[in-house]
Amino acid sequence: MKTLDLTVLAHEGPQARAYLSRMHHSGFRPSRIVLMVQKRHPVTRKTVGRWLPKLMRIAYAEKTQDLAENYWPRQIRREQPELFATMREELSKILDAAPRILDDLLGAFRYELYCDRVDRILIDNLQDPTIADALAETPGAILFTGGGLLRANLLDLPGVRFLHVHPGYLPHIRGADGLLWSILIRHRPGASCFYMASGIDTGEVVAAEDFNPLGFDISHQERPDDQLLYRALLGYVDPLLRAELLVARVLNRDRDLDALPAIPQQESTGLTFHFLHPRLRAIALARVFRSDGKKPE
Amino acid sequence: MSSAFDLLLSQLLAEAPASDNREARGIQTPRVLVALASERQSPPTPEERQSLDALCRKIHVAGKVKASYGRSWRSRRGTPPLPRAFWPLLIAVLLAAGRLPEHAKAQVELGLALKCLNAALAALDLAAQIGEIPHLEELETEAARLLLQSEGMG
Repeated sequence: MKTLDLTVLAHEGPQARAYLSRMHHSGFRPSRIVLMVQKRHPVTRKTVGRWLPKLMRIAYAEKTQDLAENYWPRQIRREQPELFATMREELSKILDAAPRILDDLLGAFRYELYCDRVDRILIDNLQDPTIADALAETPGAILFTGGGLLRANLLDLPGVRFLHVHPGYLPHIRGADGLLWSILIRHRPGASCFYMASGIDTGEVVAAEDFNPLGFDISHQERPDDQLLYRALLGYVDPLLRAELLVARVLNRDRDLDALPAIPQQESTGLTFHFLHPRLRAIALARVFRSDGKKPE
Repeated sequence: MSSAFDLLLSQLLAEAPASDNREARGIQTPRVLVALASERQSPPTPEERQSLDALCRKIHVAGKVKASYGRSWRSRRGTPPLPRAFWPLLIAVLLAAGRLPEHAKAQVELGLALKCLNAALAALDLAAQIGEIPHLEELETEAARLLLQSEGMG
């Protein structure tokens, strides 16, 4: 197992888990995980375990976050087993170790299995100064795994470079719903790894890739509603595609992760997209979840 | 190309209230809409694209469109909303930009068309909340036609 000079700034959920699992199955581990444990419930925003002693509060808040952030991926596996099995099988054809990563993602995840040093910090949000204090201990390359928009309080930390994987081929597909916009416009999913800058998805690109067209044949099942299919894409496909690019195209290079060759983006070349309206989203989802038995081209 | 929609767009342009404050500073949204409806270059010029980008952003991120903005489309406190009379033109401009290019030279042209269609759909939802907006049914018809066209692209 090779230890990389990389800190993972972990926001509990499918993405952080997918990154760590994919790394693990390729023989990598980060040198440090900083796990951001939210003081407030992710959905209700109520303060969690306010009166508990600190260590117990962190453990309770972590569990609360696990249950909330991983709710839909687990729920879909439980309530839509056929859909889950179809997606798992198709993903296994195009992505290394997809079934094992999905198992890790949905199970009882122990961060200590993936890294020798795991530091848990209790935070309000990404502007919490506790994060900057924690990261200042180990500057260098930091893998951002989500949880909101990074702002100057973190982006401007001396000696730190944030790596992020976006679910779209930059600079062509920037912004929200990258996976679905890629399918609508480029007819296939894509992903890009870049060093984060202050604009949305505007930093220098380290690696970008189009994946093979994606399609799940659900003609033999009762088709779930679009909201559930959307959640399935976000819970299973998006995290695995990003993890695949990260490990196969970035971490596999034998170079310092805070000094990788990177290409500045020409913003005029692409577009920044917004969340898809349900009516246009339905068209994108129909291309991925096919009920007519046809394979994607 | 839908000739019924082109007629509607021309009608909306003709019906657009005259700007009563030619000396106003900043970006006047009604004037931008009239310019976008009048020129309609294919593909859009960089200036048109910038305006369309900004309108899409205001609709999706702010959830509202104001009568005017500062430099670089910055929101200014106290600015009133876009007058109701201009909402049909706003939606029509986005739908016109949402027409799929017959021979797209670059994916960015296709992307911009779908982005504008996306914003038009969101604007139709917002318009329904604002109150009685004329020509909504015709605009909805064009939106549905463009969606069918997008479906056929797959």
